[in-house]
Amino acid sequence: MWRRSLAHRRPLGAAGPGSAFKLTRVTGAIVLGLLVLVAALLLTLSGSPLIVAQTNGVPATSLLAEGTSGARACQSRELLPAGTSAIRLTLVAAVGPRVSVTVLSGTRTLTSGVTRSGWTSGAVTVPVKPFQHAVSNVTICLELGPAAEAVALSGERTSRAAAARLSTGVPLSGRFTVEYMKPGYNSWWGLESRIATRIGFGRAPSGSWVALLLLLLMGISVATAIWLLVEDLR
Amino acid sequence: MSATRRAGWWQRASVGPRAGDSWLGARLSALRGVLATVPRTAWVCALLAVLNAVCWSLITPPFLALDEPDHFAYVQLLAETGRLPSSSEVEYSQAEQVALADLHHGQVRFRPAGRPIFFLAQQEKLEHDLAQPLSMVGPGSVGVAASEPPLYYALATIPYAIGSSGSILDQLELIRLLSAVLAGVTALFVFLFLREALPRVKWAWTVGGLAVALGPLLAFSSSTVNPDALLIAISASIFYCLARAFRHGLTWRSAIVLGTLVAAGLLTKLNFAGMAPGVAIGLILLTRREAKRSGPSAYYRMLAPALAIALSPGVIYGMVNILSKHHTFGLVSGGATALTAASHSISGALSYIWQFYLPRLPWMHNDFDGVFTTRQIWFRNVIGLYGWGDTAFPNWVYDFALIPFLAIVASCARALVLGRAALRVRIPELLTYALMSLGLLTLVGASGYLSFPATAAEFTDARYLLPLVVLWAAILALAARGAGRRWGPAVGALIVLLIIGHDIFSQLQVVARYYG
Repeated sequence: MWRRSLAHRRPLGAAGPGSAFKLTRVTGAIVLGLLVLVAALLLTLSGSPLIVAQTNGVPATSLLAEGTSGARACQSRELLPAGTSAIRLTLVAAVGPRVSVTVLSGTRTLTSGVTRSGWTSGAVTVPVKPFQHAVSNVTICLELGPAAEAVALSGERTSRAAAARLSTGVPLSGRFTVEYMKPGYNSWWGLESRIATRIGFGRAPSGSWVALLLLLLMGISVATAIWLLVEDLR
Repeated sequence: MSATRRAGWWQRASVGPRAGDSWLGARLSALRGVLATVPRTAWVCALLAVLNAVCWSLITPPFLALDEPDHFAYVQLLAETGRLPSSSEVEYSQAEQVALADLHHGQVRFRPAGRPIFFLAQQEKLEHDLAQPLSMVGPGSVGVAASEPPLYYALATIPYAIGSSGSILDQLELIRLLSAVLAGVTALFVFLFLREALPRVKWAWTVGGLAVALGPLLAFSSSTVNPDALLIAISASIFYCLARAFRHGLTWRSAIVLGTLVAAGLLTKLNFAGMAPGVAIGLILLTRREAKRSGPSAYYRMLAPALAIALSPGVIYGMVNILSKHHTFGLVSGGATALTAASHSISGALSYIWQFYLPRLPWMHNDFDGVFTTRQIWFRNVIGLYGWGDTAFPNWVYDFALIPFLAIVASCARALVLGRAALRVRIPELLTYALMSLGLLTLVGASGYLSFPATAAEFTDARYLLPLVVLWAAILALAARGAGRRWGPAVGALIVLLIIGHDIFSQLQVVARYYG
């Protein structure tokens, strides 16, 4: 009886296959996991969000066409801003197909990119190889991969001369909306006070303290979860 | 408090009510006794789930979760008039219309470039407009919510009434808090389910419970006005009751509880109709086992009342429809009729439902050209698709997520192979869970088929899978156990930290989408 009590009171880290070993592994795993998590957070927040560098000024007010597998449309007289790293198109689908975008100057490809199928909602962002210089009078072409359903292309009605065209040369009823995106100038750290202010608008209760409450609740949650892991998994 | 007084209090709780105590007092005392058996860790998991959902309710702008305006309109109609919706057209009350307009809802929903209001002047206009004497009663047209049964909405009228002295946004936030509390109920029952289903390794319950409590999908789904919050909680409690009954045996009381929960599920959301047959088969299997012990009277003592209670909402609903000369089962009858329409067939439906989740088999017509549904719809949506389906991670995140996911599946498979002897004796229980899952998946897939081929996949929200969240918790707990006795707890801790990271980055993605 006395010996069993002594064994039960073995100090942490002492040799033996008891709870001390598990405790070491569990706490080690928690420390490792937290380090990776913090590093990933720092890395992410040090980056810049994608911002809209420029739009082509075409509002998405009208349905121009419904495309299926292999549909291709091109639109000339576009301006490619410097540093563009993604292009956002107003395409609507429940399950969108692969979308490829090519930016041409005459017949020369300036940049291009592809996004895979499975996107949803009312817009698709296609990452492209960043192009450092602004180029005017470019043509932007989009092409759909195999499509499970019709994809709506939105824009604004224009004259036939200014309108986008299908690969057959047939003009659409107008021009489609294009947003050129690039990394912003500020990292996420530089935006923290602005974000805190914005979170507090348009809700009840309102105020920038909502962001602080959010941080506090998440902090409590993470700390409690770690405490529970240490308590229960040793 | 003195030691004597404390001892006296404990004694009273343990011996139950004294003679002369009211019925309510006796019930409360019994409830207190039941609650005392719930482990502390389960309560902590529940609390964390509530906190996590509250965080999500704070970062998701009002009405910017899928169908939230429709669900809120349903609550408002029920609270203000006591009437159920009459149409699936969309026509909200004046107050909701003003709120949506001032919040720029139409410019933000589905449009990644759109942002909610950012400036003090916009906030002041919103507050000023909502302070006007606006009508809170709509015409009864609540969009997609119209077809749903009323239980969640009836519950939500309580926070709606509590917030009636404030604005419509106060009421919305209070209903969101109700949903957050339901997330806590879900996490609680997930923990209790794991305790019954995987009784040998205690720490694995904590891993599963925490993983569900801190997961972003449950928190997002249970942070908005949506009947899924209640459906998920009811489903988790049914899984727990079944696991407990399969382990300890079915009693009259547990049969009645199961029947009541099924009825509550049917009164919460139509999707539950997919799970109900599986629960009924589970009840039959349990009664059959009980009948072998105590004789065939178990069928009418346990099974009959449980099924009667479970089916009562459907019977009443059918009778009301017959009397009012509508389809017997309303929209469900309409769906069955639609299956026989020109473009639809039973074989087509089966093929579609298979491809809705899994890769196409060689003899099937390709219904999802160019889309690998398992990965590009379901895996993608489970990993992260928020807001109105317009807030997603960059593609590389979904690729990266495959690594831990496959590791978890492999480790879980190892645990199952090692424990296959124990599985064999639990085939009836596993069959019940499998039928419940299959029923739900089939119903969701069939709903998608009704709008096919005009829309390839209409009902692909990951929240539709959340009634099965207890099984996901079991997979995570088994994955930790699959790492072996020495490394299991450490792997379990890493799984929980992975989920915490997933939650934090999901929240950041939503923050970036709406406020960046």
